[in-house]
Amino acid sequence: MTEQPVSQSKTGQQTEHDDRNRFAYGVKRRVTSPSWLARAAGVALSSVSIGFVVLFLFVLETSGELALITRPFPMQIALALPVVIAVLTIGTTVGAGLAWWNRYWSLRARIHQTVLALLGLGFCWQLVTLGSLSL
Amino acid sequence: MARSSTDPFPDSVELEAFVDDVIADRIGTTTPGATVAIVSGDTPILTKGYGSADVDANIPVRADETVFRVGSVGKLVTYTAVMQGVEQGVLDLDTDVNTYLTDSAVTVADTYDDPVTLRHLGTHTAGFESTLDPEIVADPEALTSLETLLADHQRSRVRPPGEHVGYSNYGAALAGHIVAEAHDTTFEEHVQSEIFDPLEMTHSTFAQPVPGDQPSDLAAPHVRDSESFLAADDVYINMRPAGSLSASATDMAAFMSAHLGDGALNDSRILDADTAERMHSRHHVRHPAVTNWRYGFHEYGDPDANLIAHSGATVNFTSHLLLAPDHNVGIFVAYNSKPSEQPAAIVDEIVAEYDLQPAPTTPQPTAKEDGRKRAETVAGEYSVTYLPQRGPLQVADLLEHVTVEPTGDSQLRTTTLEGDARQWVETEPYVYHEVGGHDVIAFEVTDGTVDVMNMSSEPTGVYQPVPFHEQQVVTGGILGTALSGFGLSLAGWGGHSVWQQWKQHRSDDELGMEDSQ
Repeated sequence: MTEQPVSQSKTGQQTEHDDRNRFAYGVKRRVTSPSWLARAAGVALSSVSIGFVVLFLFVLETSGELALITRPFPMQIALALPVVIAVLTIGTTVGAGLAWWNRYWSLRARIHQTVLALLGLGFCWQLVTLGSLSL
Repeated sequence: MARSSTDPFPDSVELEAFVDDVIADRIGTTTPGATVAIVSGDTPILTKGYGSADVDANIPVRADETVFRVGSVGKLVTYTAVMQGVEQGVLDLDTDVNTYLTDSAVTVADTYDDPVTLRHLGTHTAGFESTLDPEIVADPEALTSLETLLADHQRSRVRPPGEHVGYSNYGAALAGHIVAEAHDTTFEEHVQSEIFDPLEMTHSTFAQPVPGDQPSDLAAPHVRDSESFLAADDVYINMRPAGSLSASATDMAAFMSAHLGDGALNDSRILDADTAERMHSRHHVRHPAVTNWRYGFHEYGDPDANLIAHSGATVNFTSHLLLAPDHNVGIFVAYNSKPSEQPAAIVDEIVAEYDLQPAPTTPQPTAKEDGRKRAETVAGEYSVTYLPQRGPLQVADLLEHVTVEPTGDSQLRTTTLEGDARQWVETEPYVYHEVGGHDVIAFEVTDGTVDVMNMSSEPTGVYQPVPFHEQQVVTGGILGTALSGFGLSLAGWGGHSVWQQWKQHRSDDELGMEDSQ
């Protein structure tokens, strides 16, 4: 009788330990998986690109074009994002290449990743043209 | 200089009533406050303040006491100081500016064979890259010495000097620094003793913040807040000779009168008559058919009307100064806000009402053949040289592109993203006059290819053809497609995730029902 709570406590700790291990394993498995990283890069590329445009336009709308000169903190954040977009474009493009090379994912998923990579490259090209991204 | 013998303002009461009417429409809608000075020779005909200098404190604008930040109109003071140096023999308009910078940390790189001279600085033809930014700072503690600033923010030379106009705050600040170096003083002290003191411009200063002992009240800058205006924090222009002047309308009246008076006002002379005439003569010709550059001043309105002017703006102030030497008239208008319709609109109404330039006429098409072919040659998209070509401000260049389309024999249409659409008629080969206006565009064409487009209403630069891959339709198309694609992708991922979860729930429910059965 007296052992039961101890046993229950051990079981709880064990479960928590197992959960932590499972989480760490899951994270490790994902960050070392090229296919997961490629998909994550594509999703992040889409999110950050839209976020950049929304933030940039929001700051211009609220602070005027002067914000490009005085560069308040939100504009500094916006102007830092093109470099992130460029890195994510590289990741997405490499991921698309690996997907075709290693034939992982369905054909539809591979085409989707390739389209994202092409959109990212076009977007970066225009960021360079507009002076938001330096080569 | 030919001057009209008739007084353009025979009835000053009528003039005041007219200006009151013109400005009343704008006070509270376009700007919270305005200040106006109109002179006829050495006589101020009208100096008057309108509206609020500060809406929070409910202080009215007074023409003789309220000081406005006049922005780039201050460059006229800087270039007047340059001409004083030329007159005294300590400066020369055609000497390499590095000659005057031997004791300064500032130098101009020898990127091209031809050196940059003071003539280039006064006509914005030095060929410095544009950044638009006159180094604006929000904290006066961040202001540095002019020498340090110019040395630390050296601008690249991107065009041979004298080739094209490209408005440059750096160039104007450099001119002010050269004046200071030549007289072994500071720029602010020099213009105070050589221009403001002789003309008794007691409410004028380039110093920032405006010194506490200045006998004046600085108008507050304002920003729009839906239907009203809010007083805003002021900012400071680090390139001081390019735009830090604060002045009252009464002081600007004295400055205009001195220029109209061949360099003198009453008993005070700031320029010899020859020097004043030299300053007001042409120093750079973009194209004979359009407005060109005098020294510091640009021509304004009808290119044949002999109007010279300069506009100015800081973050939340705008101003415009115009001289009509043939009529012996000067007009200055400033706002303590920065609306889309700027003080030049007021000046234009006064110019039109008092016939300071001829009314626009219907342009007569050229009799020369091949008008359609020439119109097709000049068709395309153009960007102006005074806008930045690198860095985040380059987006301003994209937004300001002008598109030129042929609409018939010897006829063009120009459009901008802002919706400014205008019709033009070719009056001589490659020169087009605006229908219903004074504006003129003139193309320089070599072997069937446009080198530049000069527009009278944009004297601060020239337009150059934009390569296809930098045109608005390409940039807009690619950015639009990319963002749409990214949005659809995220929506697809979101939808897919919701679908998977719904399927999971459904299968869990079905399993639960089977277990219970």
